[in-house]
Amino acid sequence: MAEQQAPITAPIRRGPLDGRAPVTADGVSLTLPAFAGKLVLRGGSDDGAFTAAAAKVLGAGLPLAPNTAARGPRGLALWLGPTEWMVHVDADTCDALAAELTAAFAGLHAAVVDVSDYYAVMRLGGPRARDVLAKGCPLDLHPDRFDVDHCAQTRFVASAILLHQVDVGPTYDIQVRWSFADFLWTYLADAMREFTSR
Amino acid sequence: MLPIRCPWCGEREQTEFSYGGEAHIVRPTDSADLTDAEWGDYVFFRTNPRGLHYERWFHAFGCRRWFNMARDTVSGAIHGTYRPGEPRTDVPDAPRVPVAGGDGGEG
Repeated sequence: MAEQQAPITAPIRRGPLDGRAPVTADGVSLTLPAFAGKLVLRGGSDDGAFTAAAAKVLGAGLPLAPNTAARGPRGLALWLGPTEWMVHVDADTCDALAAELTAAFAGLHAAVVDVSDYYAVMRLGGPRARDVLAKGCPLDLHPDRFDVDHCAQTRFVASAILLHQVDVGPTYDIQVRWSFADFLWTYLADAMREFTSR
Repeated sequence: MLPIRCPWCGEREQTEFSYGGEAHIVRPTDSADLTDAEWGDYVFFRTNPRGLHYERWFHAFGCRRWFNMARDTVSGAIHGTYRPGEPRTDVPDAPRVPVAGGDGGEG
């Protein structure tokens, strides 16, 4: 007799890195933050109706200054370009927020796309995090140039990443395309070995 | 390290960018009336100067936007970058050495 199974209500495995044990070294750690919903918003920085509609739904204005992020009550908005933003939200509220934004953008030259499962995010933190990132990223990460809630689309070795500084630790969230996630995770883990004491 | 100033993202490393050929080439609107030579000139022929060159660049690893650059093809010096639709960066004293007619020196 077949055993009765509980209905599956949520995906058991959501991200490509799910289940990876954190990697730690002296002064730096690589961990997996909770899975975030991810929405791409398109619209003009100079389109007042678009920025107002987005601000009304998100509860905070989109960051209009290049390379900055803004935290609001509904999520974190990251500047990607003059007409493009990434919004990280709680995975449970992502669908509802996407629907609200789509409704708010009706009639405007704007778009909302759910890209939650296209990207993975990993978190690199600790006093040595800059040294590890510098092995593959050409950005100047000195706090005078790149500080908390600065973000940048840039490069880590061969992968295109979206880098966001979360706190002064420093802690960085690194978003990468799903298919590059394993490459980036293992590359960072290897780059951290230098800082492991025996 | 060769820094390039993206008109939107600011100064970034050259490895974030890719080159897109000569800038300010306008597609003829009367293509049906062009001779083969004129159409061939539009499709295939570029100025390839020694000295000042206006070129297109793409911020491939950044904001993924195209922009234009005034660059010296001899020294590699970048005179400026600007957004599409903006006027060319004026470089009054830049060397302009004709391609044909032999050696123009190092400018």
